[in-house]
Amino acid sequence: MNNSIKQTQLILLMVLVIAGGKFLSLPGLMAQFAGRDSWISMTLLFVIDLVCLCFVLWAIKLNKGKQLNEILTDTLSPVGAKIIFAIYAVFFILRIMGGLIDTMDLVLSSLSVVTNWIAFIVPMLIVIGFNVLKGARNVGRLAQIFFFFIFISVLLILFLSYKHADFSNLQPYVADGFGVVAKGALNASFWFSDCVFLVFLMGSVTTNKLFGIKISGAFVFGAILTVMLDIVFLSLFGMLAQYSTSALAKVSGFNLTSSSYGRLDWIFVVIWLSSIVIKSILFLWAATMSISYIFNVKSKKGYAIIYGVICLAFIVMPLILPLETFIDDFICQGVGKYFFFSVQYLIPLLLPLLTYLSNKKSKPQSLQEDCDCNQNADCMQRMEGAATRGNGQIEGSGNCLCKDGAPSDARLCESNGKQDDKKGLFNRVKRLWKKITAKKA
Amino acid sequence: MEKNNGKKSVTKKYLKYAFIFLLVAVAFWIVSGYVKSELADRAVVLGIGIDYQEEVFEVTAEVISPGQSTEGGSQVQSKLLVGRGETVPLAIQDIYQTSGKNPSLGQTGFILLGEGMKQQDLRQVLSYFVFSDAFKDGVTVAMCDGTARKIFETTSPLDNMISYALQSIIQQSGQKTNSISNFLQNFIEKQMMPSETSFLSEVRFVKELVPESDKGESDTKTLGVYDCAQINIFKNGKYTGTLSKDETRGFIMMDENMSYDNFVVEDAEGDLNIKGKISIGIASKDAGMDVKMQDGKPTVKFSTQIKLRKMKTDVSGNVMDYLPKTPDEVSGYIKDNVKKQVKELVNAAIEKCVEIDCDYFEIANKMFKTYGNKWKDYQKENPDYLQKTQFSVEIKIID
Repeated sequence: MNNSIKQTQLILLMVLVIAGGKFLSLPGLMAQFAGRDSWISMTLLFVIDLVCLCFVLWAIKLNKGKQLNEILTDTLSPVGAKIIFAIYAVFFILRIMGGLIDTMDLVLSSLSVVTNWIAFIVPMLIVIGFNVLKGARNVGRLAQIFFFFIFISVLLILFLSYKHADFSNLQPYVADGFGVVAKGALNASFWFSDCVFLVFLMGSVTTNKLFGIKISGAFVFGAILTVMLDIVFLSLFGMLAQYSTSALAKVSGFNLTSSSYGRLDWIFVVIWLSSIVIKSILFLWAATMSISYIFNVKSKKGYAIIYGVICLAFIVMPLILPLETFIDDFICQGVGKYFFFSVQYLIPLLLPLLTYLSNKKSKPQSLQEDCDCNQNADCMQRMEGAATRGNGQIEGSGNCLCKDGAPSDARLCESNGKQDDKKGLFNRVKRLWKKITAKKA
Repeated sequence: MEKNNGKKSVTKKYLKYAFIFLLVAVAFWIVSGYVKSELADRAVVLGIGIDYQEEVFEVTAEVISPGQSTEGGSQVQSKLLVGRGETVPLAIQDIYQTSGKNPSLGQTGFILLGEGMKQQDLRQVLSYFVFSDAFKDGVTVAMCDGTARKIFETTSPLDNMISYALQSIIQQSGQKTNSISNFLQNFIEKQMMPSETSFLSEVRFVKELVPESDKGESDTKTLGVYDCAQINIFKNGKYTGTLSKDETRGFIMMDENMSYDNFVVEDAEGDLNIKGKISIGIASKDAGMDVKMQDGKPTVKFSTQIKLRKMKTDVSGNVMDYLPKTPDEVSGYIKDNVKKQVKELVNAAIEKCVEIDCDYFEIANKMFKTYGNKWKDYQKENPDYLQKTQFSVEIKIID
């Protein structure tokens, strides 16, 4: 799997993942709990998510090329790490399962396609699987291709509905007390914390100075877009919002009342649905990674087997279990949600500390402090004896060189960079030449 | 060694074929999971008429029927399908059963309720449509005099599809005439808000306004026009009364949306400074309602600003705001006269609202939005709050 992902791709993914899938049954569900104030509950959850995201970004900044499984294994013991990954896997699978069941409802009601679960999910799983096995980089590319179209269709749905919306339907604000708003947020919390996928990209993302601001900005933009859509939905449907099963079908169906124009809204719905597919790919990739960490799987074949097992669960579980009722009653309104709090909120909030402790644990092998360079003790990040991982990162340790070409006194260091790890004959010769000149000096 | 390699390549080859076979099998399996839904098996419904007679619902569906015109080209016409049942869903199912065509309601743009539906709780009947994701919530809903089926059996001189004709009269040209429309979602939602009241336009078929010479053109349907200038009021889903034409005009005058109306002023000076009956139209309107609780009593102040123009062929309320300011065309006498007429119309609508105890001005909704639960408690203690409400009307005529 190629999991290295560009910053631009990550930004687009963040916007799509935050907004994608949140316009199916969620607005109606939240309206059931918090009525016309459900948009405040949604905002509250986004604020909490933003705080968690800031902690994750902090951890990414502190991280020295380690992946999540290494950090958790270093700090929470291998068993602890495996438990966390098991919860993550269940969380991602249930999120996507619930989302795809809602998507099927939307497709059936808006496109008048009469089909069953298997005929709907199998083609979806094939598309998702192909992308999952290609790795996170592929999802990033998909986000780049589809973002513009999805964004335009969301805007069109928003603006077409805007003229019919009666925003006074949101008044009076918090009339039934903040407790109702908080309860609404608590019961819908399972459908949030989308940014946790970022923790699985630790060690695969290249960061720069503005990385944190850009990612947080993308999150805020996606959150604003989602809250705006929810506000338009509540303004349009007022007291009836709580009875809706699919907000998107309702809002888009509302737009064009004159039958002489046909159902142009269906085109927007179909385009918008691709954001759910992108989100499914990303979350199922994260689920596959979680399970691969549990069973220590590193080969492509292994990933394919894990994904196959997940597919089986996707096909069979909704047929033998009342999954929607389970998610609604046990997770959203029951105690199940507290079980997932550990991966939704606790791990992201603790991640900077865990990363710090993990870094500390491997400090003797640290790059900066062992090198005795004249300038900043900054090493050339290519060493003798260092092996290259599949994702292009350098693993292990070897002799290090200073940036200015001078040899370092230190003998061991660990690398987290990639600039000198380029393949190809030319780069290898260049590295060799550098090494020779450094030795001569 | 070579033998082994040969065996391996043969196995690989078979594996390839097996994989292709598996793919084809899976594709067949998936496709068989989709239920065939041919266009020819469907009846695309443009409008629905619902009647209730002798404890049975009768649904009349106007469906598209492609056919050939006499000139050789294709022509889209509409046909009627009728179904009966104990409930509306059963009546629609009956259409499927008796015609063999599946009524496709995704394109429906109009619902017409017959007079018999006045006995029904419309919240319950219409919830079948409003809670369905495939049905458009913005469809125009109206009620008619007599049965909906009879209206569907008529046709207008310009539009042979009744659903389009009524949609265009009630909904689309509503801003340029003095008729008002309501749509499905708004009707149901308003019944569930503190005012518990909403309205539906009343459709009356007028045969007399079509010249005799035109009537021969339509062979099966009766030719006529439709008068939609009155509204029916519903409280808690039940019919409570019909506003007269003037009361309806007064109600529309206070509606925040743009609407058009015209007035006749006697003994006014026309364009040629000759006195006589002249027609004045509304060029633009800005209406609103202020609600307050004063001394423990609700007070409501209706205010509207109206821009008037003498009626000419190019007077259209919609575009006047974008035109350059024209010199004052109406005299003080005309303004005062129109002001008086508007006040009378609005007062008539207010009086009717108090008389039938139906809050179609949505005073309780606005009070709730302003005062929250305080108003809810007041409304609970004073269900006859309309009797206690103090109304005032302010009309401003602007240039």
